[in-house]
Amino acid sequence: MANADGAELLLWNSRHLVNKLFSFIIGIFSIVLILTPTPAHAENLIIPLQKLTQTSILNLKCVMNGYDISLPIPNRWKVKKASIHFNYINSATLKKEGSQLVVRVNKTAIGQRILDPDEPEGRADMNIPAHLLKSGYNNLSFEVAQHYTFECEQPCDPNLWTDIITEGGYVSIDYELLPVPMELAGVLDFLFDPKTYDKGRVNFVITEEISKTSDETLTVSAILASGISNRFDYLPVIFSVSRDIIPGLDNIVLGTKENISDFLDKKEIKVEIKGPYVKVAKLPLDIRDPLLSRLEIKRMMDKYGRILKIEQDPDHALIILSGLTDDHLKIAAESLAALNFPYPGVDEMTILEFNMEEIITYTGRKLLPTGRSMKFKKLGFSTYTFLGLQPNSKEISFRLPPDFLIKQNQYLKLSLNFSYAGGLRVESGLNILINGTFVTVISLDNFKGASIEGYEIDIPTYLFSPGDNYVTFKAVMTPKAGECELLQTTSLFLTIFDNSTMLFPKMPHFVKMPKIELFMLNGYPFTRWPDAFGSKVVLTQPTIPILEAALNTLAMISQKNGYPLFSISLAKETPKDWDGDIMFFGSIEALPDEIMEATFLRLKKESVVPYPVSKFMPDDNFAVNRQISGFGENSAAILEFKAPFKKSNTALLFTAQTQEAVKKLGEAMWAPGIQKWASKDFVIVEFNTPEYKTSSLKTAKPYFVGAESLIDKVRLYLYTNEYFVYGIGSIIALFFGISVIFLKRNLRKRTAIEEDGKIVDARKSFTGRITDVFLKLFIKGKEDKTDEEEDDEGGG
Amino acid sequence: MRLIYFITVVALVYLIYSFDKQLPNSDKILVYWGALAGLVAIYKIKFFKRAPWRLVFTMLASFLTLKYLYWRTFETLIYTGFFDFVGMTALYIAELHGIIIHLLGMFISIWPMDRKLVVLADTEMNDSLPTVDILIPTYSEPEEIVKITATAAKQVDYPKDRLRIFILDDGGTIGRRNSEETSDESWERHYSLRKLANEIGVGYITRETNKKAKAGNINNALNHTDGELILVLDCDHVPTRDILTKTVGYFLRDEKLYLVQTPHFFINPTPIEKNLETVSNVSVENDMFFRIIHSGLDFWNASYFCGSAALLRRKHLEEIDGIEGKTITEDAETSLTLHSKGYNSIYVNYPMVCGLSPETFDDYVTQRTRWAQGMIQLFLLRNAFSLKGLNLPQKLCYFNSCFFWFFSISRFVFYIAPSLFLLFGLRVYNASLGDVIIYAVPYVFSTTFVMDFFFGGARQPFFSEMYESVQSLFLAPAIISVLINPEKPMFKVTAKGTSIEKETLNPLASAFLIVVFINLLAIVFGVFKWFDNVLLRDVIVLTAVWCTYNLAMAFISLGAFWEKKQIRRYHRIKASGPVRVHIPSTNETVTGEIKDISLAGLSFECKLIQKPASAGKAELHIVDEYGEEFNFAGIFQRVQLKKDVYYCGVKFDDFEENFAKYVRYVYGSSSRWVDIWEKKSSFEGTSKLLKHLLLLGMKGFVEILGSYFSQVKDIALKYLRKNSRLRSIKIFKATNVDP
Repeated sequence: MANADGAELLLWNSRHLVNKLFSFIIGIFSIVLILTPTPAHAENLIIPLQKLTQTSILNLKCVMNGYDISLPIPNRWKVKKASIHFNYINSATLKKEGSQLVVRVNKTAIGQRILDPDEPEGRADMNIPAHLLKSGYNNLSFEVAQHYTFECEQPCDPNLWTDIITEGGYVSIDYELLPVPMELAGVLDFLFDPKTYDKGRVNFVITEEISKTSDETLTVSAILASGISNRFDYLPVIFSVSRDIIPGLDNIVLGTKENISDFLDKKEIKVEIKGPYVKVAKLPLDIRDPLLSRLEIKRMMDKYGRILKIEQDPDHALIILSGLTDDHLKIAAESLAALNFPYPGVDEMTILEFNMEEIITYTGRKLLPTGRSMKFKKLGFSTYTFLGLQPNSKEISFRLPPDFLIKQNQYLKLSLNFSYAGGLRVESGLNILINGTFVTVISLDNFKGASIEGYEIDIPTYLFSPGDNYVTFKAVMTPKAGECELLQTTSLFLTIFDNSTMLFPKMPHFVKMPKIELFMLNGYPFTRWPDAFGSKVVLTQPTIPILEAALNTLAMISQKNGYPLFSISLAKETPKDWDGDIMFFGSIEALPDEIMEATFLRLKKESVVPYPVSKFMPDDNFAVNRQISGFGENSAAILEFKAPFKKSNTALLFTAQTQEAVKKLGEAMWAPGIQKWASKDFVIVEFNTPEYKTSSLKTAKPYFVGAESLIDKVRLYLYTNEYFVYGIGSIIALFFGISVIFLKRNLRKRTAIEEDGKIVDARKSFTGRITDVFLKLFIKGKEDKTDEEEDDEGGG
Repeated sequence: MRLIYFITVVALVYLIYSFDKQLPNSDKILVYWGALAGLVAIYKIKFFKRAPWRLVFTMLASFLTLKYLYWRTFETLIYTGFFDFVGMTALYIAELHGIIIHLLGMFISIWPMDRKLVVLADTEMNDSLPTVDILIPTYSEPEEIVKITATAAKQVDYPKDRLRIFILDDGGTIGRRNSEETSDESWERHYSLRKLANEIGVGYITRETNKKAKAGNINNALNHTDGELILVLDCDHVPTRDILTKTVGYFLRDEKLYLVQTPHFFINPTPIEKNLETVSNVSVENDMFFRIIHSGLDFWNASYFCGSAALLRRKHLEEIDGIEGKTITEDAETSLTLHSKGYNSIYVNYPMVCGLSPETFDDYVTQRTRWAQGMIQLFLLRNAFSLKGLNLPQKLCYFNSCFFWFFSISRFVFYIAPSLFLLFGLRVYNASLGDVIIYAVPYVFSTTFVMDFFFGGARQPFFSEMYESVQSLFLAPAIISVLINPEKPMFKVTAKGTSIEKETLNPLASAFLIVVFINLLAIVFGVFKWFDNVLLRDVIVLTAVWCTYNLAMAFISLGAFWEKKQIRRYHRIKASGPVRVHIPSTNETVTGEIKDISLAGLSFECKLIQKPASAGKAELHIVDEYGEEFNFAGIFQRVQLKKDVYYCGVKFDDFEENFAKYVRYVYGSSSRWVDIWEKKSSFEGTSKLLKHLLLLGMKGFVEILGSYFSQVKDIALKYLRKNSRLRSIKIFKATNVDP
């Protein structure tokens, strides 16, 4: 029994031991598996094709056609694996043997599909070799060759078509994040990269309370935000502000040495600040930070699972911006905002001096210099060859100043250098469209082909409008061939050279305000000087949400205008007499009374609210309701009006019931819907829907801005003066009255001879009598004297 | 007061410049077309035609004009290339000229003087009146013309001991008599005119040389005479009896008065009038000048000496050493100087001379060339703005009188400007159709209404344009030659009394053929451009319409160049009034109504029991407006019966013997000229006149083409004949060779 028990015990022990051992091994393996630090983490991103194409269907027609898409790969990605997936439908009359769809990435074919008329609806799932996708903009093209017969084929027969359904299609990319390079110039492109698929996010760390932070430091944050937003090109970027680092984001700490030295010490970052100073470092993390994600916590353990107190996030950076004084801080910010060249290659710099080239008004992103000939190359148009029967169109987009008073009688002069291949039929032509409207065509009517220099086209300027404009070139080339002859479509070439020029004549600047749409366009009038010279931003509440709202708004207009706002100034107090354009951010309760008085609505205890009576009536036809109410937490307002300080300056007010709503408004400024629909002088944005609902209304009195010359300024004064009309009437009456007096006096002199010196007025009429009375009353004495004097002089 | 006025004017100009900057185009159309509508409304209301209320019309019209000028200057002048720039500038300057003349025209005519006549009473006709010398300068005119004028001058009502008359003969100067070329002719003229002067009982003065032409001639006479007042009469300007009684009185009342100018009234039509007299009673540019403009100039004390029919004070003339002769328009130059010295002038808008217009286009062009060159000389050598002593209105008036003559160059530019675009693509007028509708069209329409408002009593719409158009091509080179050398022009006497043997198109019309061809070609090009260039359709439409206007104007001008037959010895003058006719052969005495008169005879209508025999005698008894009775012996030349009324033409039988009596009757009454003048104002149917001229122009165009083709045909036939003769010679030779 004992042996049996012993054997059982041994068996149990051995089983237990095996189990324990197995459990131990499994446990160890599991722990090792879980706790092993992974320097690189593969992540996956699904990019909808529709987001890349901006259209739900790509319609490919004719025997040969193609469509190019730009596929951005961010600088901080290392692509591990990628694939593309989409559906397509082809014509059911295609010849299977000669019809196929090819997908290429950077000109390398990655897959093809036979366009089978028996199975016209197909799906393509193709892998993209990871090495083909480089950081930057990659070319993804869909090309088709299609035939419905092998004899006597019309090259653009309606039967020849294939639709790529981009809706539901996507590109899947597995990638790893690359570590942040520790070199100052290179890191900016790495961090603030427009080739990302989500909004950019940047956090400013201001260690003090905002109420105690100097206006200069706040201004620096605005300059920096505008500089960074420009690096993101067209990509929205949300700026946040905190007193400590926010993990998972790129952080910028800014403040004078005195302000940030404690903070840096805590983060164990060694710096030596002797002047304007910029440094890039790996983002320090704190395990106790509740904002850290599990993944980030894992990253903070070493390979043995030991948890460290402070770790560095290799994928995100901390940029330190400092100086001994506020001026140093500003120089550091300006230098960082302007750093567009891969130098320096080290992680820190102390700036000794920062000088800007003199800038001129009305410059910025795509703003077309007027009055001088601009080469296409300068306008972003590189030499381009149109190929095939119906090649894609090519356009030059540019922007005219929003306050341009476009004159009717002038012309934009295009001087084109182009060449085209021979063998084209006479109906071939290069069509020119202005803002989507066809205006003219250059006939490609030389059968032998031609190379033409300086082909001049004059386009009336009234076809253009202030703001964004584009000139589109659309080539249509048809080969000459008889019936059932071979159509040689591969010889259809047309090249427009980038040394072609465009000249837009100079125009005056003069615009009726308020117009929030101009602010949305490029920040006008604050960006009349591209660096926002003469513009001020007032934070009526010195809090983080209000500062965030201002930063996002300024970043947005700066990005739209394409120039950092080096000369903007932020303040916590409303200036007493500001001679410039001004913005106010704050919740309703904190808005200064004098500002509210200048608005139509007076959004205080008693609001004056306009309601449009009918959408069919003019803009300014609305009912006015005086009420005690409020916005509610889910909406905010933008108001534009004439600034109460100086004539013809603009004030722009961003407000809401709460500070959080104002902050939301700032972030919402990036939304395309708001940028498109915000107009007139009073905009209400509702946050209930993700797209934000925007309503605009005209309530404010108009005023005019844009005057540059003295004479324009006088005119502005006249326009804005309500007594202008009475003035005109008075001047006309005065002119008439004095003229009649002069004429009557002259008549008396000239007719005196007929009556031997007596005054004769043959036309003694009502007017004559009135004038006589007037003469007697006002100038009788003087007149006699004048007559005598004139006689002495011998005048007549 | 003047300062306030100046400030008001500046403010108004500024308002015109700036007020519409921000108006949308729809509102601008409303403003400018509204202003035009207002202008038309005022134009229709008689009340506003009276001064000073016409100032309202003037202000409105000036507003449209100035706004157009502003738009044209600041919106359409754009540098688009060198040649474009040249064309654009030329057109702009031409337009600027037109606008300045347009504005000054309104200014001058703001209050035309309507003077009361100051008539010398019979009691005043005594020794207290100033002595008067009537000077009749002549050079090459027919003796008969001089004879009529001198005879009429001799009959002027004025105390005989205080009036002397002189024929100033520059055709018989010693220099000309001694010159080989002109000796015979001059001696003959010298003798005949001296004899004529003796016969009539007037003085005869000639001089050594012809230095300074008419001015020199008069100045020479001033040295040989001593009358306190000088009445200057061109030798074809026949004075009425009352010319002195209605003018001398002004001199008695104003010591500083140096000039009383009276209108030049012409009994014969200009070449253009002749073309239209079959269609209507046409007023011509001369009427516009003397009936409206000169009255306007008088308001501003800027009425100037027009070379004849004017009374001047010797004392003032001598102060400036007589008539000035720096330019070939000595008359205006003299006035300018005297005005600048503070002396006054007046204009008596009452015709008291009867003159002759040039009969042919050549003479017409010669006359206008002299005026144009002379006034441009004045503009260059004696610019009113540089003269001290003139007030601003006087300066503006003189400036206008001189500057006006640049119209020939402006017209020439207007003729070719649209073609420059359509034929060569030169951008001479950078305007969109929208802007043209807003600014240009109301302005252009307003000019028509303005012209009719101010000058409608003396001219028909479009006729100034036509007159300017007709002269432009010939005056332009003459003007340019003065601009190059202001001292160069010489005084050329206008021929008077020329006869035309047959109806023909004057060769000068050829110049307009070129204009017709250019504009026709441009329109054809325009049609092609319309299809070819979508973007420039605005400009193409504008220029094509402009070319069409030019074409019509060129055709009309061609029509004006027809020379009508003119072989009458004396011009027939429309007249009225009763005539008692006694026919000795039938012993019938009736009272008829005079229809027209001339020095050779008269025509009348009357009811007769029996048709008078052709070449039968008639005794005519007429009482004129002054109550003077005239008995004439006549011979029936033609008699026509129409509806019981006989239309009779009678030739004066004792014309040679009683020449003075006939001159007194025919030319002695100023009220006759006034009647004719009044009738001229009631014109009819502008469109009818223009259509008539257009048809004449087309006829001329076709005839000239036919003539060219026939010349080409002749040359071709000649060539063929020549060649065929050669061939026949060959054949002949061949025949000879061949056995």
